Amino acid sequence: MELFGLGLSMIGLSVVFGLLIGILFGFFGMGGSFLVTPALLVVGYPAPVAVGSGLAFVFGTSVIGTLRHGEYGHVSYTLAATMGLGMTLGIEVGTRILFLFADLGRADFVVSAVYVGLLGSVGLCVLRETRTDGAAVGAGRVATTVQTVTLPPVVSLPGGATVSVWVILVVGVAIGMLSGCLGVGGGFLLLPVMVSGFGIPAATAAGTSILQISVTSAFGTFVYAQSNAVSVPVVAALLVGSALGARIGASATQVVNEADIKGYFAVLLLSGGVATGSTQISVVYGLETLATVSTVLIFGTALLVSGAIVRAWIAALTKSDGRRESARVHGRGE
Amino acid sequence: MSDRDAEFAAARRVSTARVVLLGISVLPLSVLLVSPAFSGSEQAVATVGYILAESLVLHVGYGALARAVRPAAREILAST
Repeated sequence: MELFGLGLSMIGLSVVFGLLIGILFGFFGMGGSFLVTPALLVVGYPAPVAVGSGLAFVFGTSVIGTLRHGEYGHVSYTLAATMGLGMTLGIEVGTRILFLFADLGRADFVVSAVYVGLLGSVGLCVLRETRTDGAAVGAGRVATTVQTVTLPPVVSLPGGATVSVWVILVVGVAIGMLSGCLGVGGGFLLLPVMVSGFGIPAATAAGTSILQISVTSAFGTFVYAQSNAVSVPVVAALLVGSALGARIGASATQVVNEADIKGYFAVLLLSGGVATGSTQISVVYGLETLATVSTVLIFGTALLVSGAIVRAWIAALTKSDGRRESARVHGRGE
Repeated sequence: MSDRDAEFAAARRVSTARVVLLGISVLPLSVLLVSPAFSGSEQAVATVGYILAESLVLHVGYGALARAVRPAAREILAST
């Protein structure tokens, strides 16, 4: 049986995967976007559709994220507008590059190869963070270096930094190209760039980046949808699961220590890279078993890590509720 | 910080949030309205509009569901 041109099993799988991704995104604040495109590649979608659908998913989650935030603390509109302009240009360029590779018949290989590198390096960074307790090294030095570029016009940012508009535009174009090529929101790059590069406070960076991602991913979705490269039923099903998962993940952050589970998250990212790479190998050499292994690897590790978060969350809630109940009983006894 | 300062900061946060939320709603909609003039791709506009609408519905729907289910879930957890 099919619904909106998609089998019921595929809809169910998308909702469940969306739920797992949502839990991870809600808990870690990242990972929502750069697991969806590899997963779509692994289940056999062509690269332009996987990237376009990934961007559409980013658009939906960032809108929900923006509404969930409710209050931002602060947003730097100057930075959002300037970098948003750069990112929009970058997305346009990135999209054209991807379609160029698609015309050459190399899009699947290029996107998969870049994802293997990206997931591998981000996974290793997260793994290193867990070992060094997240200590930022040289952040102040990077901010100072960025501020030495004084090519006019310059803008004053929250936190007191003065940065050349050209620097912001170049960074925006670079992240936008990555976003347009890979279907990622870019939050995992925007946040460190804003905090370490431009020296703005973390709360302002979070508010600014999510606003920016909403607008630029809307543009990206539009560009890909023009080429009919967005699978609306898959994105719709993923969003149904992820909106619920993000609530669970965000609630879990209040009672579960992120550091306890961050190592698993690094493993998830690394196995996502391995799964994407092995899918390509299975296509080239016609190894059906390897394709199955890739699917099991990406979905299995997402299930394991999300499961670990939910288990720790329920255990913490049960403990705190039990303690409250016992205090109430003791209070009544006295 | 005095109460008045705290109130002022809270009011400023709320107004910032309003501006941002308005921006989120207005900007994609503006893109949707303006873009057909340049490309004539109604299907792409419909895709962005559909995802925006679904996100808003899911946010409101799950919010209401969470409020309704939370007390019962807490009770179950406390009893286990």
